[in-house]
Amino acid sequence: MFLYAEHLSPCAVAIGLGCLSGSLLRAFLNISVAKMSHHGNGSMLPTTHPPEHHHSTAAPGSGHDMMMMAMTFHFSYKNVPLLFSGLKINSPGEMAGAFVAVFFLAMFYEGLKIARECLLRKSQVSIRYNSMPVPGPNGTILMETHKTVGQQMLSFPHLLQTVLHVIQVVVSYFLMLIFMTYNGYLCIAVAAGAGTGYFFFSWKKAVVVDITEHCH
Amino acid sequence: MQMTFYFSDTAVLLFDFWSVHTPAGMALSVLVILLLSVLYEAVKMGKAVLLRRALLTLPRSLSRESLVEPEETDTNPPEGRWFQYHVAQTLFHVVQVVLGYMVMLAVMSYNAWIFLGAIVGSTLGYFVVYPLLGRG
Repeated sequence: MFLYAEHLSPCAVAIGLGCLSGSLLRAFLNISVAKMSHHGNGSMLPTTHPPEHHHSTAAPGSGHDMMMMAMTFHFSYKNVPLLFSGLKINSPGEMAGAFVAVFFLAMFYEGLKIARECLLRKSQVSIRYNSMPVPGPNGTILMETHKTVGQQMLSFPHLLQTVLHVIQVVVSYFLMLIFMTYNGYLCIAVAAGAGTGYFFFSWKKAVVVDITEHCH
Repeated sequence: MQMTFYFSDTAVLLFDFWSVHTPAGMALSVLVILLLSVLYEAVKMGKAVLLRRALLTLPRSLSRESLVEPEETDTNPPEGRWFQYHVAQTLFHVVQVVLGYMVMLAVMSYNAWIFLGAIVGSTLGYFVVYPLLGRG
């Protein structure tokens, strides 16, 4: 039981960290969007005025300002679109912010993947424990967990898994689209975030597998 | 920008300098993408093998150390070895992520030859490398 509790808490830590990075990203997005709207009230709907748009974003070196997609890798921090039309990177500072945000998003993605796996394993382990008839003094706990076994599809763990899965799919598509900008900095951020996240969260995987194999 | 599949000898893949104009160049590019795809599968499997080896270091340190005296003199303790495996796994993971995105971007050129190269590479890689997992 002690082992079990110990294996639960890093899961919570992973999720907590994930939430933290998620809120960080959200904060960044809010700030950036606010800055955008502050920058020029008229430019909130730039698509309707192509000439004005052209005038405002005449960046030297980045060439044409149409939404021309780059098709090869490049390192620039001028006029880089990031997922949403309101989010456009135009200065080194914004690129640094986007780098950090993307880094944390990639880390969050790794953490979420591991946390999901860990939650799934936990629910499986609890089900297996339940199927075992264990006569013990703490019969109330056994009864309680028995109830969760009965309802498979509408159980809370499965619902949680589904929600987490949706978040994971969305985040993974975001990361893919960010990589597809062909911007060198953002690509490095994605790769570095994935590496860091894997490094910090996947030791969990080893320990969890060890415990489950140890118990049976 | 091309948005549907087409068969052609010309394409620009990933970098400015990787622009293909000739059939020979396209064949070479397809071969490179194929190898990248094979490498992706190999790295994926290598990660799984590393994970298993990392797990094998753990129970031994728990069970054998307490019962039996260490018969072989190991240079580094199991904890250190586990950490080494973990670092190696992380590196493999980064390589896997980067390779995966590279292959995706190459496929996104919508050149059908490149696409076929990626698919064949993935198939070959999985077919060849997967049996190695059992051997560990």
